[in-house]
Amino acid sequence: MHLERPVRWLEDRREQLSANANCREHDYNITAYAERDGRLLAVECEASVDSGAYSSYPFSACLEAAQVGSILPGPYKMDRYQCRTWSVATNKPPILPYRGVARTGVCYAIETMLDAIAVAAGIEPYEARLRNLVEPHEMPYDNITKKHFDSGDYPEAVRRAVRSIDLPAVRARQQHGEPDGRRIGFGMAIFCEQGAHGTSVYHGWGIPMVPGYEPAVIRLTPDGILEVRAGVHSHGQSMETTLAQIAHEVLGIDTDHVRVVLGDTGVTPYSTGTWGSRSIVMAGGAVGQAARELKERLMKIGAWLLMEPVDAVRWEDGAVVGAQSRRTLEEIAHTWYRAPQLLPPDVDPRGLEVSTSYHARRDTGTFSYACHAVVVAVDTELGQTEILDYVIVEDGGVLINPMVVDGQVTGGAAQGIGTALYEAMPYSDDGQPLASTLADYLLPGATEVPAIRIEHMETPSPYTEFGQKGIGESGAIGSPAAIANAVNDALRPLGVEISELPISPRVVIEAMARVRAAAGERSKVTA
Amino acid sequence: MKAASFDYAKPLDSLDAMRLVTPTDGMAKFVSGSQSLGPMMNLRLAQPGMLVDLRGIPALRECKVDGYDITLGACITHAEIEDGKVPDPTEGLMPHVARGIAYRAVRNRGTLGGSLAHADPAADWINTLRALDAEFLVASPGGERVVPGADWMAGAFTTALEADEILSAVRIRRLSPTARWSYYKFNRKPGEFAEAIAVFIDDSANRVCRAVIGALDGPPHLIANARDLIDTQGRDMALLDAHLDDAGLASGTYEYQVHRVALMRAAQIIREHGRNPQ
Repeated sequence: MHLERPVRWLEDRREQLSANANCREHDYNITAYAERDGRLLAVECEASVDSGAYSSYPFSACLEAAQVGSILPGPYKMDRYQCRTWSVATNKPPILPYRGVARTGVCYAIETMLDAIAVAAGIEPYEARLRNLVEPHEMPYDNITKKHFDSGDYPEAVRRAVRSIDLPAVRARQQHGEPDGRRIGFGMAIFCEQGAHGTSVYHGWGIPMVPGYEPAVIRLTPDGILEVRAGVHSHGQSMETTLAQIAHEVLGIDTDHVRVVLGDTGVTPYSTGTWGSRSIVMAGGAVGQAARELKERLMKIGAWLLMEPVDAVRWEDGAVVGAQSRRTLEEIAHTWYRAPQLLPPDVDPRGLEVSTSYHARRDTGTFSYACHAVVVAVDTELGQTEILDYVIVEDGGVLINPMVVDGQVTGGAAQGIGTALYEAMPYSDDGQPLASTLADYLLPGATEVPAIRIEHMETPSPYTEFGQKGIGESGAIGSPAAIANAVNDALRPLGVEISELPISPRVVIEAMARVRAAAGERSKVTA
Repeated sequence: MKAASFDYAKPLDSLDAMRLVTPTDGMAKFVSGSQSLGPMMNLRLAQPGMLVDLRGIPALRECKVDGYDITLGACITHAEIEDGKVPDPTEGLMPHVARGIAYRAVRNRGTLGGSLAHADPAADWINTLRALDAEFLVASPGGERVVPGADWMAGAFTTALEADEILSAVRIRRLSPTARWSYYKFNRKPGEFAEAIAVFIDDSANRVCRAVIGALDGPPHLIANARDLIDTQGRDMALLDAHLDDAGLASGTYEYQVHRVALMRAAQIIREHGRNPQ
């Protein structure tokens, strides 16, 4: 707009890796206080986040650090809590929010503490969690940082994950030892994730952009197609499918007859867009609300055409059904557009196009949650970690489409595996970026992401249109903590503890060398 | 980014190819599979003014069996070696190594000669062929010359080739049917370049018992007599460390450790299995 001519942005991989946003470089100095039986009493933490050189939005430099303080307690109960956070300006590229904003680091910090408590108390990691998680009968629950957990059964997620991973078998295998000499480790992580939080939350943060009502426009076209226009955008979340399903849920219309148009202010309503795991709650709620209003208008027209009172007809499979006959969506659309002489005299003149905006009954957000359970094998000679088994028990409330949720969770977990084992943006001492191609910036691929076994729980949110919760970011949050706990479980008998990510072979080898050096032993490998 | 603009020629014989390179004063590069040069050009780390594509030269794809020697043309692809489409002088070692090079898409185009001329210390062929003591047949404007394996690689990405010379083939002494071998490559992910490589070849019929420590900063380190390493199954730490020290690795580092484990495991494989289990 300043140039008054079109601009094309070209950025290659090297520029993208060396100059584009980074995130997730957190440092935690954290202490947990607990009873001897593992019951958590208090957490004290000082955390800093590398924010890079600039703030990309007015507030993004502080976005991660500001959230750390409020979400560090996770799904746990505690009596006392103190956390100071720092956004540290450095001469690196700025940070920007990325799937599971701040939460991957926070989950890693608190979940490694829960493992430390379990070790100190001499109990299994899952027992330490069960002693401290918010219980289902306490829901909705306001936690120590005033987060309002809407619903869920956190302990059940833990129990299911432990059952599914078959922890006794893993422990037996550890005792037995591996023929190839690798060490087996079990790790878990549980977290809850606030999604789709609205006006009161963001206004409370004091930020300049506060989201509000989420709009949707739906209209029935003359040929009986339902157009759904929403301001959110789908970059792989399958909203083309799930928003169509919501229209189907209310109107019974075949999803093949629903056309979803997303995220283009030329043809869709304005929106703050897709972020914060909000779209299925907010845009989904708006589409549901719009579809219901459209159905009311269709019922009035249909009843008139059937010559029956509105309260004598019902909606069934995309049609208004009376005692004798029925009028389909297509027939009503045809009447509105092509044969208006047949319409009732008091027909709603707004016709077959509904524009509405939605706001959850309570805007403090949905809290989806998941328990990740992982078994790894660590090659202690080479420092290499292989994931042998990976279970996620996930509760996203009422699932609009479980297969879509599976895809979201698996994709997120793949990103989390990258954070745990591969991805880092290193710099030389004089500030040269050392990972400027994908040969140096390693990403997990088909051989590094196991077949993740997902189990769903469905605890409806009491505050949303269909009980659904946002889960888009969730998969990426738990993996680094669960994998780190598993690696440490494997290395614990050697007295080695890794407290950094990614857990590369070099990190493992060097940590083992430090322990050996401390033990005064000459560095050696035993065959 | 895409490569800077360049001229392209695909000559039909090596002499034509060399003539194209000579007058352009160092700005022309030979290319075959383009699996290393291509990415470097796309990153603009390499900006040759001209690419002389060697894949149109039939002689560079010739393979010959000549008594105990087998000659493999430089433009044979990794995939052709993997699939057994060309004679294997190595009783299965070269197909085994080929199978572990990068990804199939790379193996379909990448060539034996291209990899050897590129001389990345972490690549597979440069280390494997050193263990095989292969000879390098070079086409020069003045005629042919043969470079012994020990003289091929001078340093990382540096070979005995002059800018206007072409590696036309490698000559490998056939291993006997009773030969044993092992190959151990450590990399962070399948398909990535190696962090450490170790190769053993034990062919008593030919009085050969060699090992190579590879993926170093420079050329592969040849262990001319690897008998003790095999006999001790790589469990003699002092012996291992003596070879690692000879290879120039710094004790106490990550690199030392991963090379030690690679050498140790390759020794165990050849001792226990004779060859890598397929």
